[in-house]
Amino acid sequence: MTQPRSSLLLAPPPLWQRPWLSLKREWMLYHLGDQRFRFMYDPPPDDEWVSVDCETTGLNPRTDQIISIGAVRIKGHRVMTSERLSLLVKPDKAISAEAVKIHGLRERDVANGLEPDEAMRQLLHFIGSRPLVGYYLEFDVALINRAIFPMLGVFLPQPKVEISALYYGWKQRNLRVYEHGASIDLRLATLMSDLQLPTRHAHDAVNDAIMAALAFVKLRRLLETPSDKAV
Amino acid sequence: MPSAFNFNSSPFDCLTSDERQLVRDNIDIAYFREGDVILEPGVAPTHLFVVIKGVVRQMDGDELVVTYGPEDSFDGRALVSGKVSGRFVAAEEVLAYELKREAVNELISSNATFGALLFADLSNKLSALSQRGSQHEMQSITLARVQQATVRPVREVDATLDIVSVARLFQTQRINHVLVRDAASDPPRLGLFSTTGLQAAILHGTPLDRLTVGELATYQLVSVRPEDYLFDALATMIRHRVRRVVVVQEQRISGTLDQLDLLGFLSNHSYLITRQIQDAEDLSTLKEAAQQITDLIALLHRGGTQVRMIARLVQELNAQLFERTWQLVAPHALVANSCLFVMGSEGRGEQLLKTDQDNGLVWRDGYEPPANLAEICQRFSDALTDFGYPECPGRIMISNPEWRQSAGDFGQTVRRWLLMPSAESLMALAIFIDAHAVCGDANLLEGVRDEVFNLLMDNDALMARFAGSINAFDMASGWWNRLLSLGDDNLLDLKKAGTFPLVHGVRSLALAHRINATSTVARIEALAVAERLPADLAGELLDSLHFFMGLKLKVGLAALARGEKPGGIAMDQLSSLDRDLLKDALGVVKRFKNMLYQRFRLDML
Repeated sequence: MTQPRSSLLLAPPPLWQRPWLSLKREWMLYHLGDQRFRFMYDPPPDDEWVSVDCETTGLNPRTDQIISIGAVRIKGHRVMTSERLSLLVKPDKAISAEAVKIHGLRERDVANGLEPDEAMRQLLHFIGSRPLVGYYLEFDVALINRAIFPMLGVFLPQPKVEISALYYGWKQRNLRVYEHGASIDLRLATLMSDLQLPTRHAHDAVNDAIMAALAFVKLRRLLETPSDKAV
Repeated sequence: MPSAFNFNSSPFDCLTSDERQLVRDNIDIAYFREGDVILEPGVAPTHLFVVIKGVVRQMDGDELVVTYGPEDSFDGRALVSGKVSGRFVAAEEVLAYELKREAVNELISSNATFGALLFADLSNKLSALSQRGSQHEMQSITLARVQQATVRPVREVDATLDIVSVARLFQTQRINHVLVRDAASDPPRLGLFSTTGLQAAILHGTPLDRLTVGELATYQLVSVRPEDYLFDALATMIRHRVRRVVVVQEQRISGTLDQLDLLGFLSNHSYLITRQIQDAEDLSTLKEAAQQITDLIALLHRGGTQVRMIARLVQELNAQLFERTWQLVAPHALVANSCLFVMGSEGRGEQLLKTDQDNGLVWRDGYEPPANLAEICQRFSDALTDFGYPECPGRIMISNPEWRQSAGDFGQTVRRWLLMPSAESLMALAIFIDAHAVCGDANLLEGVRDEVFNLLMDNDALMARFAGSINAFDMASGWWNRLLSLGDDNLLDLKKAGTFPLVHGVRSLALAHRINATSTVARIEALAVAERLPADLAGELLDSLHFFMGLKLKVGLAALARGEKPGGIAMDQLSSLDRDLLKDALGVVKRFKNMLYQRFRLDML
């Protein structure tokens, strides 16, 4: 007996939604400011994702900026660390002291970084039309959207998969009914050790992206297989 | 990235920084659930896997071949041959790095050490290792060959030349020996005359200007080849008790190698020990020499000397030590009319650190041994115990009356072993077949040994029983699993798991094919020449044997340094490379065992 695939795992859209989705796609393409980026709306390659992580000048998605981007592709059960993207971006505002303490990137470290527009171009080409994966992806996506909107007039169109949501779903599935509602610790370190995955030096954009990718690959397999109460 | 990749484990620890970057740029991480098949025959291998977490089993049909744990890599051989060597299954969840085939090929072509370490071909691994050792330490003296040492060109003189002219030649040319060509004899022969011969010439009585050099030259030339290892040359000198050997290249004498020059190359320890043994007039002096043998082994091993050579040297030194001890303990008539022999690993020349004294004595039929023979033999055994060779728990030593008999009685005993075989007698037989004479008349021993060959030859059932002891130490649960239970203090008994089946298997094959050699190495070589063993298996068996010996030596020396007795091998203390090699070597033994099963029909037992 197989369970239905978890809704978290981006099942293909049901038939009755497809006309609407293709209309939406046309609409987005019409608004796309730079037609060279049409590839973002192509059908994604099968069984591939991109895990993304950004380090920033601070923690406010409205005002802070990206200073380094790490991204790594995922193909099936493989984390393609050989196909990774690691960019330093030159921000046009100061990096907060708190942020420097977290990721260790000082202003002088990113002074030779790319211009934000160039970095975004490289990132978008790296992502292509693949769905995005990340840990608290919202924050990263918000920052990227802010950076690409002036260029393209659209936000990131790719589907997005949230690691902490996958993890939450999997934990819920494995908890007994009376334990539901108990708070589940979603901190990255807890999540990684619970999944028995090696942790790397955190707060380096590529390392974080790889950790998220590993967690995704494992959670995906766990969610695809029938539930077992003992993990 | 991945910055977390561990470059300190074999085979990646030999990479330069550029090569490391290449690895980082071409490595992915794969995740497998329990039971996933990672590789299987028919799949084109595209990656080299390095386990990060979890356990991978390599299966051959239903049989577990080997298991891989963290930091182990597989399947290097497949990448090159393009053919996967078995089914690789995740025994538990596995995270593994995958290094692209192209990158592996590039590394192999740019870094020979890496390539050699990668292929599960043991001989390459081992020689790569010895190369790597030499990078870290000074160029190992013992890997030097004769041609690298000072081979002195040699003057040739005619045999009719008088001694005075030769002495003048010595003085003007500043040489101390000449080659003497004796054209008068048939066939023409070559001899050697050195300054040592001058004493004999003066004492000869004939006026020196009329004494020809041909009369006093030594015509028993001991020769080595330029491509021989210096170590073998030294062992040759020790055995023949000469201070100079001639170097013969393609039937032509290219020069001489002096012991002094050789000792300039090697540490002069072994020579000194030999001298000490030879000159010893009492047992206490011998004891000092015996202690030095162990020191010498440690010294050579640290210097990266090949185990094969250490074993050879140790065999020579031990033989001399036993011989000298026997000469000091036993009366002259007994020494002349008997043969003292050593057995077991000592007999095969595969003993490095001192182990039990397995020895025996056989004397000529009709010779009446002295009345106090028991006392003499007991004194010999006590002396060896005192030197640090513990008594044999199986009492296989000359202080036990069963192991000292006349040739006729010994023959009877051996026949009894054969015709009424019990587990003990088969073991005694196995030990006896490896006997190696150290003192006295070696023909006595050979006579008894021929007895065994003649009886065993046509008796297939007996042969099978004899060979069947390779399973004497089989463990219920495979040691394979133990290779992975890192962290528990299970000791692997190398002798039971590896050395014994290998040595005994080779011994049985040699016996079945009438090969008289007593050392495992010589037996394997002879079997390969006779095409009784596939050449590649023969090579791998040799490598495995030497690896076992080396590992035992390494662990033994470490234990001695800690002041303990050498014992089993703690798996978790092995480096990942040693674990790797050990797995390979044990795998070779397993293949060899399967071959023996078919050869001797052991399944019928």
